[in-house]
Amino acid sequence: MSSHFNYEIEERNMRNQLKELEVSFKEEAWFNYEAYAKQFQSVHKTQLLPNFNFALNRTLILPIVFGGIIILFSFLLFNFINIKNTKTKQEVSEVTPPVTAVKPKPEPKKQIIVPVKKEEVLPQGNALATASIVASNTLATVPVANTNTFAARTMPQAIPTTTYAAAAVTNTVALDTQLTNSVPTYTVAPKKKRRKKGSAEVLESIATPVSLPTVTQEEVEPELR
Amino acid sequence: MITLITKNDKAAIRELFERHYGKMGSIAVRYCKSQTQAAEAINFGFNTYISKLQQNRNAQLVDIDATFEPDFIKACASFVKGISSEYYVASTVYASGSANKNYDLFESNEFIDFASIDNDVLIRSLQQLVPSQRLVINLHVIDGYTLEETANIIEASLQTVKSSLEKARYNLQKNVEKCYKTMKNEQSL
Repeated sequence: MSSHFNYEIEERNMRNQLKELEVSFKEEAWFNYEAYAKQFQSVHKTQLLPNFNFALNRTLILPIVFGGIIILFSFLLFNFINIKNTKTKQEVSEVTPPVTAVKPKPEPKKQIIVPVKKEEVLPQGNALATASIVASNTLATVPVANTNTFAARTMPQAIPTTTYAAAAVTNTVALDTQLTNSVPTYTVAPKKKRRKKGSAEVLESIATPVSLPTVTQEEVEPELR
Repeated sequence: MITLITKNDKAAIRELFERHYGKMGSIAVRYCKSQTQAAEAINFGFNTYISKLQQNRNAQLVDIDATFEPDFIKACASFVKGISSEYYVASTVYASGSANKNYDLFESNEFIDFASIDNDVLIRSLQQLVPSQRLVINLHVIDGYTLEETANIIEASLQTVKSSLEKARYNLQKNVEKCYKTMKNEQSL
């Protein structure tokens, strides 16, 4: 627009002129409108369902995408770093053998009193008697801790170590029932076992005297040369 | 009448159409670039008004005579703006060829009375404006909307409206001059 331009149109007059202007009605215009309205209505009738307009901007999409990525990545990491560590537990259970028989608690060692036969000279059953003594000695030396509880319960008379021992005892009992009543008893100390290093003994501390002993004689200091 | 219109009664709608057609025609003609486009704008504007009335729950309280014209103007403006291809492409300025220019210094430069311009000349010169300028000059200068209201209706910034108005005034005067000259040439022939 040049600087020499002068706007000469009187806008007020122009406004009045155009406002007063009116167009005569035509029948054709009404038919034209009817056709348009029918078309418009048919379009609107087809839209029975309401329109849902979701504004899918990048402000909405980007946070959702990033959130999804973060969740997926964290899930991936969680799979790698399993806090509960179930796999190792399973391995341990596989390695350990199936539940074995419960170990019996070591019972306090008992001094077993075993009847010892007097060495009597028997003309006929000498060999048997000696055999029985040997068997009883072996019984006495066997500690009770190693015994099978089952075997011990079944045979209250003597406490044999194993089935073999039990069998031996039964034999001796059967053979020498006559001797056992009159035989003096003697004790046999059980075998000492090595102490376990599990628990250390707690030694009692001796209280030291508070007052130091007084020196009666003067100590001679060595001369420095 | 309003109750009949809300019930989609054709006779009532036709009566309203007939009553306001003159006004609708005059508005649509100056907002559009041609008569055919004006007819389309009339249909669009009137249909918009009727559907708005039918959807209004308090339609009984509506004063048709007071609300019809502003509503129709807004509908017309949105119709013109809705022709987006025309709205944006028409703003492009093409360089005119040398054949169109007149270097005749002795050409008769008669006085044009801008105070009383013929209606046909005014409408024709308005129709020759680009849509954005046409909208601004119609809304602000003729229909009396403020610049802010105009900016809201055409969904543009205030600065854009101001610059469009300045261009529209310049172009309108030039168009009026052109129209008078062509009319004279036609008469002389």
